[in-house]
Amino acid sequence: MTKKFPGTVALDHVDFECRAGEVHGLVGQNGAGKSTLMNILNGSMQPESGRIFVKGKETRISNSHVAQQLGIRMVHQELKLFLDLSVAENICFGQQSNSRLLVNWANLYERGNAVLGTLAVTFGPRDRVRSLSIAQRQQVEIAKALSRKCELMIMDEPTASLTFDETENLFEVIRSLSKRGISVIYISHRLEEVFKICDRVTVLRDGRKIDTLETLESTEAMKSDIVKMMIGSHKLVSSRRKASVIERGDVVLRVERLRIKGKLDDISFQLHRGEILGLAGLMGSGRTELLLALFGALRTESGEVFVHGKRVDLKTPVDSIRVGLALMPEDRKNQGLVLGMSIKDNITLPSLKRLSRFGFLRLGHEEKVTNEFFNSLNVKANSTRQRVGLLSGGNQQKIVFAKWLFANTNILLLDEPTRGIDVGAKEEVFKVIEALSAEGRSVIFVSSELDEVARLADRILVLYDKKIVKELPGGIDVGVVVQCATGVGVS
Amino acid sequence: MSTPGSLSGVKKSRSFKLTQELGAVFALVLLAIVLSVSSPYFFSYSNFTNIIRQVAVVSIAGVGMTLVIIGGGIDLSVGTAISLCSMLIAGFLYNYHMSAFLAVPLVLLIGCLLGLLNGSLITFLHIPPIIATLSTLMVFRGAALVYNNGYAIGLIGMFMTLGRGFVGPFPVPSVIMIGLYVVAFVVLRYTMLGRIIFGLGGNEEAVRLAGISVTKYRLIIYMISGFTASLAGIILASRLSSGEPSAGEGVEFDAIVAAVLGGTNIFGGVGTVWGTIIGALILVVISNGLNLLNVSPYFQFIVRGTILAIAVAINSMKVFRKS
Repeated sequence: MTKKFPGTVALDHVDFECRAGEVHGLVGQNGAGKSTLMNILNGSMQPESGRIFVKGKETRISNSHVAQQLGIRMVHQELKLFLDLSVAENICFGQQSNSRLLVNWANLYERGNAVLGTLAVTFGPRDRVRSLSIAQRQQVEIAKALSRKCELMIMDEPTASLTFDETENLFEVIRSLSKRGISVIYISHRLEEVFKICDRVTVLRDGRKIDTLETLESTEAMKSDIVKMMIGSHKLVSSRRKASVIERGDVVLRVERLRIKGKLDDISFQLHRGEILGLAGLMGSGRTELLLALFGALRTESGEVFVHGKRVDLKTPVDSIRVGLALMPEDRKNQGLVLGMSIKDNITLPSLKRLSRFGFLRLGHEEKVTNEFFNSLNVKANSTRQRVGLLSGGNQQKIVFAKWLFANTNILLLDEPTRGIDVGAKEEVFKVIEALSAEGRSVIFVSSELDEVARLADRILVLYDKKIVKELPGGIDVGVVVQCATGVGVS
Repeated sequence: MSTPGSLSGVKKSRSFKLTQELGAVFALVLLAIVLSVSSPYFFSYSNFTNIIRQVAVVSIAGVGMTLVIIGGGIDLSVGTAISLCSMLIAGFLYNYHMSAFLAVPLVLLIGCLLGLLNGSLITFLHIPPIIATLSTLMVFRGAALVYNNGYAIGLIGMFMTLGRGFVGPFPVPSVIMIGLYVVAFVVLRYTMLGRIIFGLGGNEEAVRLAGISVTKYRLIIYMISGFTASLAGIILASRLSSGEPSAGEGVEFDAIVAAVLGGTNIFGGVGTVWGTIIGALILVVISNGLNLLNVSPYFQFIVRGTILAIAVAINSMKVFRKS
C-alpha cells in the first residue's frame, strides 16, 4: 500500500495484516505513517496503490461509511463526543431507532444500558458526558463502537490521558473484546503497554514497515530491539545524567503552605538553582494545578511564594513572567504556540518589549537572535520564517523552549513536555532540559510517564490527592515512584 | 523526514498569498476594462475623482475593520458610529460654532471612546464581539437620531475642504486615506502592537500565556476601529456638507467585504491593509459601474451580498484545501 502526500511518501509499500480476535500493536515515531495507515483503513484517505482485503475478500474502502459497514471502528485520541448530550444519546447517535419522527427515549436508554452492561462501567446511560472523567468518556466511545457492527476496533493512543488503574481497566475491556472475536489495532507510544496487551506488534518507520513480531513472550532484549527499529539510526542518550551536575545551588523558589480549596492542599517545597525537580502524580493529583498556580493562571486561597528570597504576588501570568517564571503548557497547540505565525514570531512573543524601541520592533536584530536559538536547538525546518503549524510535535516543543530561553526565564514549569512526541524527539527534549539545568536554570517537570520523571529529575516530589506525600531522590527505581503516586503505603 | 514536505508547504502558502492579492488586483483591472468598454463615462477624470472620494470613506473605516478582523474580532458598529460622528461634527461646528481645529480632534477622541466601549463590552463583560458590536450598532444609530431629532445638520464653510478639496490633482480624502494606510502598514509590519494583533487572531490563549495583557490590546484594537470610523464620519460630513443620522448605514458591511476581498482571514491571524484598499476599490468600482449602466440601486444590494459570500467562500476554500 502506498500513500503519497505532497513532497513526502507517507506510506511506502506497507503490508499489514490483522487476525480475527487479535490485539495488534502498531508502533513508530511521529510521522512513521501510523495515522495514515489507520486513516486508509477507516476510509478517510485513499491509497495511491495497494489492495485491502477484508476477510479474504478484496475491498475498496472508499469512505468512512463503507468502513463502518465493514465493522471497522475507530476510537480517536481526541474523543469525538457530544459533551452536553447523555451517554445513551452519544452511543446511539446516528443510528435510526425506528421510522418514527420522534425519539423513543425509553428505547434509547435501554439500548445504551445494554451496551454499557458489557463493559462494567460506573456511570449510567442518562449521565451527561460532560460530567464524566476522560477515562469514562473513552468507555462511552468504546460502547458507541460496540453498539454497531464491530469487527475491528482501532485505538489511537487510548491511554494518553489515563491513570494506572484506568489503563488496567481499559486492558480488561480490550481483552474481553478480543475474547469476543473482535480484532483490536492498538497504537501507542508506550512500549510497556504494547507488550502487556498485544499479541503481535508491527513497527513502522518513515512510511515503511520494518517488522512484525510476536510479543506473547517479551524479553528485555526484544524491547530494546523494537526501540532500535523505531528510531533507526538515531542514538539513545544513556540514562542518568552525571552526579556531578547535581550540586545544589541557592534556593530560587520557595513555596509555603499553598492552598486552593479542592485543588491543592498545603503545598510547601523549595527549588534550587540548576535543579530539575520532578513532580510525580496521577491525573487529578494536583500537579497541573500547582504549575498553574505558580504561573498566576490559577488563584490561590492562601500560602506564599518566594522567588530569590523575595515574596511575590502571582496574580496573572504577567506577574510570573516578570519574576522569571514560565509555563510550558501541556496543550502546546492550543496554549503554547500561535500555529499560524512563524518560528521567529513565536520565539519572540514574550520578549517583544525588550526587542522594540518606542513600540517599533528591531526586525534585523530579531532575525539575528532568533536564528541563534534556531540553530542551537537543532530545529528541523528550513528557516525561522516557516510557520510553526507545519512542524512536527517535537520541533514545536523546541520552539516553545526557545521562546522561554529567549525570554531569559530562570524557572521553567514544564507540564508534560514529552506528551505526544516520539522517542527520538523525547531524547532531544531531555537533552534541552539537562542543558538548561547546566546553565543554572531551574526546572519543575511534570510527567505522567513516571520513568521519565525518575530518570531525569534530581529530586522527586510525589503528589497524591492534592498533597505532597513524599520526597524521593532522583534516579530511584520507578516502582517506588509508582507506589507512592498510587497512594500505596501513604494513606 | 518532515523537511521536504514542509518545504513545499511553505512555498505553496507563499505563492498562495501572492495569488490572492494579485487576484484581487487582477479582478479590479478586469472590471475597469469591462466598464471602460461598456460605458463612455467610466474612463474619465471626473468619474475617477468620484470613485476615489467614495472609496475613501469605506477604506478608511476598512483600516480599523482589517485590524479588528486580523485580531480575531469583528466590529459591526462601524457604520452607525460613522453616522453618529458625522452628526457630532456637524453639531459642534453649526450649533456650538466650534472651530474645526477643535471639533475634529474632539470627534476623533469621541470615536476612540466609542471603540473603547465596544472593547470593554467584549473584554470585561465577555460579550462575543459580534453581539457586543451589534448592540452598539443600535445604540449609536439611536444616538445619531436623538442628537438632532432625526434631522440632518447642514454645513458650510472651510470645513468642506476636508471632503471636497484637492492637494494638487488629488482629492483631500484620498490623501488622508493613503496616509492612514501607510501608518497602518507600518503598525502591522514593524511594531509590537502589530505583532500582537496577529498573535491574538492566531491564538489568544498563547498570547495570554506569553505574559501579554490581552485585555489591553483588545481595547486598543477596538479603539483604533472607533478612531477610523470617526475619521470616516468627519470626511463624509464634509463631503455631504451636512451631518446626517443615517450617513454611514451599511459602511460596516462594505468595510468587512473590502477586508475579506483583500485576503484578510475572517477568523483572524492573517491579512494585509493593502488588500483592503483593493477590496474597497473593487466594491466601489462595481457600484459605480452599475450606476453608469443604469442598473437599479436596489439590485446593487443583491450584488454586494453575493460578493461577500463569494469572497469568504474563496477564503475558506483556501483554508480547507490547506488542511
